Amino acid sequence: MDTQIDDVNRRAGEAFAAADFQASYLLALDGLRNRPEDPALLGLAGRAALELGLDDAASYLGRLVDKNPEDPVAWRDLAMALLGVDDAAGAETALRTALRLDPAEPGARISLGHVVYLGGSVDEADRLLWEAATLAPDDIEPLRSLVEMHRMRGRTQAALEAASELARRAPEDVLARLDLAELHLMTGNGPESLAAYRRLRELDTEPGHAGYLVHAMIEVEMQRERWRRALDLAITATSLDRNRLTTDLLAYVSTRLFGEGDRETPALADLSARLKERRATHRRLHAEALVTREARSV
Amino acid sequence: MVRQDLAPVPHQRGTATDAVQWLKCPSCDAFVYIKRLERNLKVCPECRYHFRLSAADRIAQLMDDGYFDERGQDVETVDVLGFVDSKAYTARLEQARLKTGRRDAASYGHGTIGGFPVIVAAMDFGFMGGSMGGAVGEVITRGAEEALETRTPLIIITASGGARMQEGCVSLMQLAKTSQILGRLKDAGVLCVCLLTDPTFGGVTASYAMLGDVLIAEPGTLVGFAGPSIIEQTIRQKLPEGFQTAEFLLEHGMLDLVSPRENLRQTLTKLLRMHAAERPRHLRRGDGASVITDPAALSIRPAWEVVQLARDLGRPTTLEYAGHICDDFLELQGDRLYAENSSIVGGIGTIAGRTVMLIGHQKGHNTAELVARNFGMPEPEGYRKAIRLMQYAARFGFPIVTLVDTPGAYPGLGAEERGQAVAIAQSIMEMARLPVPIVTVVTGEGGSGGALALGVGDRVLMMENAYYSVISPEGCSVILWSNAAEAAKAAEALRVRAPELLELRIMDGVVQEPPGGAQADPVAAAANLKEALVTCLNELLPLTPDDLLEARYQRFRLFGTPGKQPVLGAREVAS
Repeated sequence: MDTQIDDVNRRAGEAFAAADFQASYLLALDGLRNRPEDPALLGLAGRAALELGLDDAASYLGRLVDKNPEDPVAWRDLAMALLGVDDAAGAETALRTALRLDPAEPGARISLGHVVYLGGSVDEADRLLWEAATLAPDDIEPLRSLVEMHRMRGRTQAALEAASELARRAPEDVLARLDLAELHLMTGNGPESLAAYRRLRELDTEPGHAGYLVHAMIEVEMQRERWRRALDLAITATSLDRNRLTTDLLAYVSTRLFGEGDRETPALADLSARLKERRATHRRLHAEALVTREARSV
Repeated sequence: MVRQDLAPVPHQRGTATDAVQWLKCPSCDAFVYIKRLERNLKVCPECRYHFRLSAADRIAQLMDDGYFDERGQDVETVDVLGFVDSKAYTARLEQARLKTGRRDAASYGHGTIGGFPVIVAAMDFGFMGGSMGGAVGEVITRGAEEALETRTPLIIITASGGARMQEGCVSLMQLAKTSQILGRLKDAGVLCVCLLTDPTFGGVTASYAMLGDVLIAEPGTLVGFAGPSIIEQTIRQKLPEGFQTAEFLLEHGMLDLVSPRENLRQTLTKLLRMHAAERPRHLRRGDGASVITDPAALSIRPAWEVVQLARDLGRPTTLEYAGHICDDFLELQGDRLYAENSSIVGGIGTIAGRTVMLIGHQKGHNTAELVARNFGMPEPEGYRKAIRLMQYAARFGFPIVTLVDTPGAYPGLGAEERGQAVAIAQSIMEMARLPVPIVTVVTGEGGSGGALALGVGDRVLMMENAYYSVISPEGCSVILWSNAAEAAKAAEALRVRAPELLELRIMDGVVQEPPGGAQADPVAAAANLKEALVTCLNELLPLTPDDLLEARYQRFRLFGTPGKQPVLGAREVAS
């Protein structure tokens, strides 16, 4: 009998390792009929159910942590299962237990950071995600979330810190560089912003995106009141983007350099609002593409 | 900031517990746990935003067991122009292949949905924005050709920014190439359903995406020809909120339905089931009362009382009858030209196991419903939708059932500008030409041309307490009595009741109503209606299309023909 069960265990484990979660799940359930409290089988059933998006993942993993209350991975996986069924409170408890048992575990820390953020604890989320970013230097998810969280809350300086670190760790990442450029612009760091936008002109090869970047660079130069440079960029923009904004920018910058002409000069407030909207559109395109890519990859 | 006191630990991403765990919803900015998102078919649980799906995800969600037997893997993307912008086209292709693991932006194959065989051609926006070049057009065309050859329903899932610039006019020609094969599918009566997903634009919309028999989109999907920024720059106006969304298109008559992702499989299954259903020539009768064809068997009420009964707000509407008499029903919307007009509703349904196209005027039971349905008075778009659905029925050999209940076509400025008379005339003529059985039942008010536009049937029946008239009794009273108060007299004089119209042969039969009228017992009224429809269909289904058309011609040829047109005896109009 034991030999048979060991065989089921082994096959369920192999199926899981081969990403055949359906087979792993069914084998684990089969094994649990004879040995309902077997921790290995409970873990496989729960984790396979989690992969398959089944409701009973939390049940198996809950039984597993009852059997092995000192197993941090089991607690973390239970939290994942609970999050899958929208039990944020249960997940938070499980994640805190996982971290108490293994304080160096980055995955649980990332999830706990998000869970506490959803509960409104921004400072704790910030701390947890920075810790996760430190523990897992190759993982940019916590930094990306930090940028998003702080941007949404209008905490520009905190967002800039995260964006700088993110861009340092992922130098080819367009969205990261875009955030860096925009946050430098928002904090009045013109030279840094321009440098990031220049780099983006190499990185962002999507058709039609050069226009967004040159408009943003004009905005930086306008902020710095470098009108000659802004004019050069506005002239460049005319060959990249036939957007009405381009001609309005050209008119505005020309007026600042050469004085009023025949053409009515657009109001700065209106131009600023349109430039801001344009930056937002450009960022949204990249953020959506990233989210779609990540959503596709799971 | 980075903590100096924490040392990095090994951390690999692999299975669910390790992979990217949180995504920020682009719509509501909420962080969503990825497994929760997946369980929700990648629809944000907070705001219902439908995340874009890859073609593979879409197929996995729609096909039975996610099974898809891919074909056309030999289709090659060719750099026909030797195109170079800041990068060579070949380099862009290679980059897209690395990013997506696909050969190009579309693939097709065989499988089943709800147990029904289908050919699915699916596009992937992740591959160069789903742009359509020669390979994409070839995949769509091959899928359609196989559908034609095997008479298998074709499902096309679109996601595209438009034609692929890098292939120049060759990509432009894909619009023609794909449209012509869809034209052949239409001629052959092979079902084509287009599922428009976010985003679908440009040349794809201007060809196969819009040519399906049924067009479905998910909520919030953006669909259009020109992109919004192009339009804004051209017209120098800010576009309205919701412009080019699926809901906008539905309202403008371009889509049949907007279906949330969780309902898509069910909707497609229902549609496929009705298309695949057996086509018995004899339908099983139910337990409703028989149709009355002898005028003497009908009691006669005062005409004005009948008019009041016919207008009773409690009478069942077309959609309620559809619910009672159809085993399955799927409402289809839009005229594909200008607007969805909800004064006329229609859709595919099954009656006694036979798939039919059910179309009818739609009123309501209270002020809000009546206003929403414009009191059952259609604008031209309602008639154009009806024509579209009747042509759909003819393509697939589905009998047509029309239910008439309207005070008349809407007498409005816009309706005239957009050709109300043209739409009615075309509907009347089209009904005379359709080679499938048509049964019409006047269920309430039969208001003139607006009613007849749905009333050119092989069999025309009316409910016992319905009326049918060339003009409303009030209108007649105003014109001939110079006073609307004489409407009751006018109703008598116009001979609008069932027994009289039966005698005049305008009607072929009368559907009995329960005591107190259909409004008193809608279920019994619907059972009688179903019985009448089954009786008529059993008479008509064995006929050939030529016989049907000739008999229908002769039926309407009779009216007003001297010596053939029955004449009613003179009646004294009661004061």
